[in-house]
Amino acid sequence: MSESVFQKVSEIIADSKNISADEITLETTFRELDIDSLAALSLVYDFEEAFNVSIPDEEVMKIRKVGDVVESLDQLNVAV
Amino acid sequence: MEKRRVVITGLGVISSIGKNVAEFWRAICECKDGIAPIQLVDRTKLRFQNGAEVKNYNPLNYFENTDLDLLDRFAQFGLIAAREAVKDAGIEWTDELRQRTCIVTGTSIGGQHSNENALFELYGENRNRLHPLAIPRIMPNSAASNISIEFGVTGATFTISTACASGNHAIGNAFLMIRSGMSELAIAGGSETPFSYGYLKGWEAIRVVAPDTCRPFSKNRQGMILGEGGAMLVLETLESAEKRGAEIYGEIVGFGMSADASHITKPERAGAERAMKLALADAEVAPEQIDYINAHGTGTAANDPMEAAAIRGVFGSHTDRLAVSSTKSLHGHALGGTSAIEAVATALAIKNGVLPPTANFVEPDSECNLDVVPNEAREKSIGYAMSNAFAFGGLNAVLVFRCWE
Repeated sequence: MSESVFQKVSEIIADSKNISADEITLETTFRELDIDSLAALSLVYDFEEAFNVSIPDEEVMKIRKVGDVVESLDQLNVAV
Repeated sequence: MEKRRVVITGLGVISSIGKNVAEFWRAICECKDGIAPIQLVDRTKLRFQNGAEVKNYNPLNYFENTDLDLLDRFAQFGLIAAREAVKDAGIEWTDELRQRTCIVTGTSIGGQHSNENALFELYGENRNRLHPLAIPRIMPNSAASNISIEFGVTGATFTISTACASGNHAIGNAFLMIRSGMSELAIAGGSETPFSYGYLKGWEAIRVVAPDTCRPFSKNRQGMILGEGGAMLVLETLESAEKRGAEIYGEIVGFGMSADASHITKPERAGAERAMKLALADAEVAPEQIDYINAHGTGTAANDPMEAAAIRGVFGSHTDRLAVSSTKSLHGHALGGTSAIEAVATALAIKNGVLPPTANFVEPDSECNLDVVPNEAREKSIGYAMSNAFAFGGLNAVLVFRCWE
């Protein structure tokens, strides 16, 4: 799992939720962060923009925690 | 079925002539229009230059940044007007009241700004993805939905789109729902924000926008002036208003609707007459009892003589005793929001005993032989008033108001 991808993902989530990135781990769930399905889609949009990739629908539907996002992005061989 | 009486107990408005009811009414009384060079769009690319925009508007004065992600400008205006109207009415919400409240909003184009921005990203910038909130921002019912979320209203909530008659259709249908017993309370009105480049180009192409200003019923009129804004009314039964000691602006007593079924843009006198007659019949009011008409009065070549003839057709010799003004000359033509703005103007007119003026009037037109209250508001007690809306597509909606003594 890419540490640099995790860091960037954490920063994007932290920025959107107005919290510190230090509060976010790979195990942090979207539910814990009070991110509903629509807000999650907005974040996915932000991840896609930041990494210049397109995350497939089936991957997006599986996202429950921050680690899921990093895993999806790793599969797409994103560069940071 | 028993017809319950329906009264207006709250008003809210945001427009080019005021961002609240007090500012709006002052501008009407002082006959100060909100028409100025367009700021929201690069007007050097447009054939017409003037519009009636909401000036010095900062959405952050009304909404959190995160809320704005979901709100197109038209939905913002709908919400701002609804907040003012609900506060004005002094509603104390209970779960039961929330279930028995309806929200009916009008808009012609909904989230046009968001739509154009999204399409520009795709077609202009060759991007291959849109923001996931594009759809909820664009949808024409987003004003109604966001109002329902804001107040927790769980009753019937929907949006009507009948171009320039949307506001009256919304208020009229809310009125019918309360009168019939389907709802106890309503938040009804409309909002519109047409100042986006692509949409203005559409108006440029259809050649009905004036190069100077809006001069309804004046011989030298050159067309309409587009406006933006939102207006909402709180309606409730007379019984509930009296029970809670609410201030009453006036009563809505009649609603008439018709379709021209003739031409898609050219208004038809017969359709307008039929809507006015149906509204009078619904109100059980004789034409002679009407003192004031807030006209559709767009200032176009096609509408104004048609409307003058239709009024004469309905009111006969009483036309010469009627005051007929177009407040579009002040706040511009806010399309799906405009008749809601005009309903607020009409409610304030009957409440305050003041005839709103027709601004920018220069020269009488023999084809529009009406007392248009030119350029100066006039004190006069108004027993009954009518407000006309005759939309593109030939869809007409007319409301009748009664003064609350």
